[in-house]
Amino acid sequence: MSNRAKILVIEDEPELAAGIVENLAAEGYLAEVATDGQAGLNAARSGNHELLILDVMLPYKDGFAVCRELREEGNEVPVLFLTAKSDPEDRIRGLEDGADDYMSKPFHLEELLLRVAAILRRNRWYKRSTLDRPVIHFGENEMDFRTYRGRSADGIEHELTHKEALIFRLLAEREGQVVSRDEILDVVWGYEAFPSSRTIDNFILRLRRRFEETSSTSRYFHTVHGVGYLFKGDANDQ
Amino acid sequence: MMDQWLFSGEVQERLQETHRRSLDAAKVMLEQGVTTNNVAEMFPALSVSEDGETIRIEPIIIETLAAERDSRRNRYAWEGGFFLIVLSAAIGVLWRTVQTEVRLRQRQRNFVTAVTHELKSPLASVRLSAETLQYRENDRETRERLIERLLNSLDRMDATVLNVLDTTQIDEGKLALEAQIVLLAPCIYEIVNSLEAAAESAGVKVKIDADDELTVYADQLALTVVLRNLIVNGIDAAAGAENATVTIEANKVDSKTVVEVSDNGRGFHPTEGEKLFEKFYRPGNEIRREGRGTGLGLYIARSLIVESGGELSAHSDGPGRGALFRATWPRILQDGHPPEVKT
Repeated sequence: MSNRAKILVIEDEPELAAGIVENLAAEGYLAEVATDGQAGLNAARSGNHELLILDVMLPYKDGFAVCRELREEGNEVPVLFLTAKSDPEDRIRGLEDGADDYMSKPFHLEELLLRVAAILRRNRWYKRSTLDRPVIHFGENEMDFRTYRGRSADGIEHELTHKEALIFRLLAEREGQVVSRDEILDVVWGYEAFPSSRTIDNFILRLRRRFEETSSTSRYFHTVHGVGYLFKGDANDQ
Repeated sequence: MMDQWLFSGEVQERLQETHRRSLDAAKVMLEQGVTTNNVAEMFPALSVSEDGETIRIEPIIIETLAAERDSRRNRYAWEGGFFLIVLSAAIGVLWRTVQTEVRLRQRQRNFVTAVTHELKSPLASVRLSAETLQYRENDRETRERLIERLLNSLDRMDATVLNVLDTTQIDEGKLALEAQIVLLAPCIYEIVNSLEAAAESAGVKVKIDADDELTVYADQLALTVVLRNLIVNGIDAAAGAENATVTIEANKVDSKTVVEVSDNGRGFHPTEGEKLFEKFYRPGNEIRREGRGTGLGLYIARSLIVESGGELSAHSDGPGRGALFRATWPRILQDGHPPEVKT
């Protein structure tokens, strides 16, 4: 991986796109622009980018659709939505469609740069960490962190969201050790407005639903009250 | 009710039964020596032969009953039918009203979203340029570029606000147009010159074919607003097309001057032509934008042209097949009389 992260800016406002690209370049990133949704989707498919900065209201194909289609094709490139639409529903919709972060226009330059850096850092960590142990087995379960796909003991296939995979990865990387909430927030959410601890609980709950054999007992994903979480696999790694 | 007007078999039988009882009673009375005339008077529904030998139910009674039934059935059918027609018409009118309302609301929502986008995107650009100036050590050239970008974005915001204000004025009937004889070609060249940078950055060629002598009878400012609107739309629609070109052609046709602005770009569905001039209408949906704009530009353009006694129409063979906008203004007539213009 080159040290200069390649970033694709999909934005139909030419002045704004130019301003973002210049600032990204000044930070040492390689930035490209696409000015409509379809061109952006094509560029993202072939581009090997480390991040998309994606507007929502775009010609030909809206940003939500671009993000959704990429995810459906198995492209997990991180997406930062940058949009004039700032309703909470839009934010939720963006995050549901597989976005990593969401900023409304107008935004602060420093905040944009910090968020970009946080997303890149997070994903570089994930990739590095995944190279080491891409697939883990625990009990009858299997999880492939490269494809975000897991299989539970009952044979059901699960496709994890980006955040679920990040949390799982962090816990798996530190298997047998307690990972504090703060650390999860720092690694998985980075600079973004911190979610409540309940949000982390929900993610852990989702992982349990996917992989625990019974809903009442936690064999793999443990809560250490007041401290954080702990993953206990059976250590049959590949 | 159904039984009554359908005269079910059961009811018919009951009627006949009633008369049959009268029949039996009449027979008994005749046997007991009551005169034929008296019996006939007592039972008007029966027909008694002169000699008293034959007594039967008066056929006319059955027929009358049947006729009454038929007429009632008819009446119900007519009244019911009429009622149903009125009811469906009322439902139809209501449905259309609701639909129109829903469409208007949807468009107004789209409009708010569009205006928000049209203001927030350049606003974001203004802030970004200003913060870049503040945040980084920029050389002179970069500073100038940033300032120009900032001013361009402010111009865009200004244009959006003006569009909204123009629309309000049109709606309130406050347009005060002063028609005069205007030379068309210089007006077109001036607009195209001012859009040169935009056309170039969009990779669009602009061709002009207009006779220097051509005049129109219109309000100078309104004419500029309309032409600018059509040309900007053309550049926007052509951007990205192969060999992207906008052609502006002006001609005399009878007492009119016709300006056609065509492009080889995005186009639209042929049935969409009229909708483009409706207030707040924007092709595409709320977030999938088929180009910039608030959905007001063409509404304003047509209102201004109509006020000047002209016409504006749009044609396209379909998405991706370019579009042609035809604007028509009255021209000063040869005898020197200005054309009749609605004021």
